[in-house]
Amino acid sequence: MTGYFLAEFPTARALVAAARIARQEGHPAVDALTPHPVEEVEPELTRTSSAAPVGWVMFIAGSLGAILGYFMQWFSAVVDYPVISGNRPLHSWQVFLLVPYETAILSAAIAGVLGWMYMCGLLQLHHPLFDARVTLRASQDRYLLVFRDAGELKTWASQHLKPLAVHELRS
Amino acid sequence: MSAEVRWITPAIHDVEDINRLITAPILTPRVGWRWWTAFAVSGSLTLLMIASVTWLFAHGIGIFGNNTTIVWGFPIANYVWWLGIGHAGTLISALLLLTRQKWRGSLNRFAETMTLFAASMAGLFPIFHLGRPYYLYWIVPYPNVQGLWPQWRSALVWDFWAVGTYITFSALFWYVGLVPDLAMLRDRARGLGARRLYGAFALGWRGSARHWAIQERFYRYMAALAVPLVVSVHSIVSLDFAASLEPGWADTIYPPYFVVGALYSGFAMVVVIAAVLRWACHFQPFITVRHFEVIARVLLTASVVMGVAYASEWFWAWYGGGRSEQHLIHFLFTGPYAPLYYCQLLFNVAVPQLLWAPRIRRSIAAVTLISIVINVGMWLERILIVWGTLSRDYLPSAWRIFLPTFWDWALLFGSLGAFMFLFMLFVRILPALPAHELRRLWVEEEGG
Repeated sequence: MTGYFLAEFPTARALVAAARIARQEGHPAVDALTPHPVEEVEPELTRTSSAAPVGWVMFIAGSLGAILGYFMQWFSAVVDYPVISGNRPLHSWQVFLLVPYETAILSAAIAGVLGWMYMCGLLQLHHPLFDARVTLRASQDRYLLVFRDAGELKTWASQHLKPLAVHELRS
Repeated sequence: MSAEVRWITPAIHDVEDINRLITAPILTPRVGWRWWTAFAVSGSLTLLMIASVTWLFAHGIGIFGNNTTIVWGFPIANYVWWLGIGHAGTLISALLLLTRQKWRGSLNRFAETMTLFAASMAGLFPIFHLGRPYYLYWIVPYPNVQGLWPQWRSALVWDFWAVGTYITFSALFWYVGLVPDLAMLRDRARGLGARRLYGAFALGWRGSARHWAIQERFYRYMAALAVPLVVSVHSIVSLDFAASLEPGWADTIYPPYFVVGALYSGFAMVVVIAAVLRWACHFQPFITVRHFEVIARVLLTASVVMGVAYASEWFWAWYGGGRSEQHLIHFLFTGPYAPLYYCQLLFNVAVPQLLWAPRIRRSIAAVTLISIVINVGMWLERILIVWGTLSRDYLPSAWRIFLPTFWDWALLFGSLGAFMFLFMLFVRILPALPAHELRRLWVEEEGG
């Protein structure tokens, strides 16, 4: 990931202020790496998360889980293995609602975790951003803005955004 | 912000202080005698549990005090008790997240871990109680040559789905919240092996704005699913009792009564663990007196609800006019279990009323002591739900009482030891407090 550089800030507030200036000046940052969620920074970046429909994935998987859970009970108790127990109807829908309730939540959660991994691009254990040592601090106490290096942007950033330091990615 | 509304004490000066304190128990190679002592005690009890289970599998459930009348005995009471404790973790994490309670940050990780371990202990007990535990898989709908299916009208089958879902869900919820902290450990660990191991489980987390945004949204959805799940799980467990026709069990109040009871014992266990962690891992800046005070309020509320639930049992026995119900209540108050029943009322309803006093709510020792008392009281409640009804149901010729054996106690204390043992390992391997949430809380409180 050559052609990128990182601007390092000591606080979340400094990070947001710098990201805002960068966007207003027409050089918005690509991404921000922070040790905790900083919601205010997202609108200032070029990449947003609004296209990640994790809720829909969970809703659809949950609905399918419920339907499948109910169908499994109906099929086994009415069609495949009908047993009359206590003279109750084969299709005892009232108690058949319990298992789908659980399977709905279980499938929504499993699908959600898979969706979360996919949408965050997790499981990719290494990322070119880790080539900069300072990225290791982003999980601890440093706030970083990622910029695409075009022309004199690095000099501009170190002058105008007042970062602690600017780090180039080792190629 | 004024010092009044702070959840992190001023002992923390910057974000790095938080990281250092939270990772200290993990990344410090030497641990003190306190950890080793607790490790030795819990390890020995775990061995006792393994021995008991081995003996149980070799000789069958005849080694317990269970008899032809009280067929459930300790194992099912322990199952309900452990599962109840396993409810507060997900509730603290999910409900307090949805209601934007900031104090959850100091508690949610170890409370969720408590949920995982307690629910795992709970899940073992019905298996121990099976006459033929090796046929456990019969409860799973799997394709078999005999063309058999589970009996969907059986409460035991509902339990399987509820508890199975709950353990799986809790593990996923816990892991999703853990990933940013695993990334911190990956970046802080010195040894290559540790870096690789934490790195693998951190899944390449970078803390990018997109990561956080998706994570936050997903975590909230999971929380929204967790709350109805928690309520459903103990409701379904209560149906093991309520779906029968036994006196004292066939009550419509059972599901909410079980859910509140579960949260009650779970919160009490959270207090005990919080007090121990605070002292052993030096988490005083994060787990403050105010945390104990708010939990004390939850405990107090739950104790009143429990009192009303007990009173409603007496009232409906009297008002409903059922002879066996009335006889059961009479038996509980005057029969051989009466001392236990009075202890239950004393521990679950009377003693927690001390928490009305602000001075007691603000004393960590007092709240912890009351919580231990509540846990004992809730165990007695579960025991008496099983013993009481089964000892005195409709057939007088079958009336018997339950006398626990050595193995009953061995398995109970063994499971407590195993729970503690898992916790001892947990605090040395994973961060017991969510560092990323506390960082955010600190930044919000400091305005930094």
